[in-house]
Amino acid sequence: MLRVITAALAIGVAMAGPAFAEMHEVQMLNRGEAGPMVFEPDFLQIEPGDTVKFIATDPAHNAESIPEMAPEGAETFKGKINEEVEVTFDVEGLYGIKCLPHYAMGMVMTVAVGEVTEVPESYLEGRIPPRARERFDAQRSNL
Amino acid sequence: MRKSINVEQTVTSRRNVLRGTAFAGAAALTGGAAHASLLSRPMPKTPRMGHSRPVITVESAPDTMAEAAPADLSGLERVRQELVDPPFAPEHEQVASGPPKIVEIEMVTHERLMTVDEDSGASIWALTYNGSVPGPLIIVHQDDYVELTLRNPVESVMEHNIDFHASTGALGGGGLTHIYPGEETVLRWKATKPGCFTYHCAPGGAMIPYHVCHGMNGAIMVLPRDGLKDAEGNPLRYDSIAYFGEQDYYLPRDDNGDFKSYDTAGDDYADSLEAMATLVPTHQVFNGAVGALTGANALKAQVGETVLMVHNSCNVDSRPHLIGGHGNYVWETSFTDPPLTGVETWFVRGGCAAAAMYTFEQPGVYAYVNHNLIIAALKGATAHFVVEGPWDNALMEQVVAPRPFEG
Repeated sequence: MLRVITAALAIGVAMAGPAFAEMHEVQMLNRGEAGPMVFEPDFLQIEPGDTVKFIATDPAHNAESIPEMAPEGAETFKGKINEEVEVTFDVEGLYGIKCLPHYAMGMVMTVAVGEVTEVPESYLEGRIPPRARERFDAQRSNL
Repeated sequence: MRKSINVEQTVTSRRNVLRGTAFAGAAALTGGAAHASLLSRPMPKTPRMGHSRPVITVESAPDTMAEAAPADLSGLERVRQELVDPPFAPEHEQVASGPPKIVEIEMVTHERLMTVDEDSGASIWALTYNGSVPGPLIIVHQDDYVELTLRNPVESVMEHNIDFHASTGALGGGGLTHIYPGEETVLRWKATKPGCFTYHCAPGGAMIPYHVCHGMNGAIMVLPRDGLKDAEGNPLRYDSIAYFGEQDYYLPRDDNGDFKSYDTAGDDYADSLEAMATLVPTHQVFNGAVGALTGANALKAQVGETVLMVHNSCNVDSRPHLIGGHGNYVWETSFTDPPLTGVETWFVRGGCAAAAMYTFEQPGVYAYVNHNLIIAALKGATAHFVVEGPWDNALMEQVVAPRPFEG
């Protein structure tokens, strides 16, 4: 299994081409500057091929994509609770990320990959808890 | 464009997560459109506070649900059951009149600050059904349908749902009832098994015990259609119901050892998990708070009155004992099996509700306790019945009042 991971990692690096792919770290916290249950930072502007490492600083969190809030063709991912995961974002566009157990409490973040200037029309149309929606709205202002 | 992997299926095992990773790698090799790839690495470090990984995952409804034939509910009468606060029971028939019905009930998931112990000032942002700990007692008959409307007020902080141990399928309905603040859902299920059963919130993972240990549990009693019976099939009837919810709380303390207070529901999440992981409750009480059913709040009864004591304990084992009385008939699990008789102390398995029937024979105060007396006296699990009526010297008499003696 390790071989699979290593191979995939190598491919990920190869995919990034000559540019240097960056690693961005996001902490999953019970309390941060924005209040209880946060990803910190909760907004990232990255380049295609960059990787985000979700760090389980506090227990009982996970990071997973919200399928309705991802560009077409992007792979979905779902980290386990208490697990540190690294996700390489190859498809340009806007991604909504949530912590499943704390979604209703507003534990969400936005990752903008590449040149994103506007929010897709359908982006906030799904079933989103009110506190998550408030934070998504706030994160959108970073664009 | 390749179809995304099913996000729900990726949760089940590391192998599946890795399969997703390999999948992404394969796509890259073919030179197709680029995809985000997940590199999932085992965490070498132990998560803080020693939590093991939750084995309970939230799953969606099975795929076959959409293809299922509609249930035949033709000819079923609809009735509405008005739920009431514990320790009381809703209006109900002991013997069902007529064929099975659809019993409509409504519950609202209120998050509210509650005092757990007035003496110490301990409090909790309780997570409740209809504002009470335990949630309201529901009573139906076997083969009735329970049709629950569950509402989560928009002011709520958390997601809620409900798992009925009495129901069949979809994690007890838990998989079909997840609601965010501002949402409602309706679930209908058939009460096929007679007995007393726990229901509780189960949003997934560590949130399950978190919600349960914040009060989000209660009981439903599914009576046989022809009522309760003894081992010989003779009818057993009660005059009243006393409904106990045994609640274990794990309240966080500050550095001085004082109980901490929080601004909103959910704020205590991390501290609570740490306190819960000790498995040692700071409080273990009946009906939400120390003294909720003692003193001025004691239950009232008369000599000759038959009381059915319904005891819910969602999380911890309990061993109820009625000090000065007995369990004449006790159904520890289902109403299908004949009741135990003449029981001194009975057992309520954690994750279970049980019923015990007793007819009071003497006046006075009876203490209904968890007969781990440390829990009863120091943690709070004590209730009182104050019974009125004539004393029976044939059952007990004080032959000599306490007096000094010589020698």
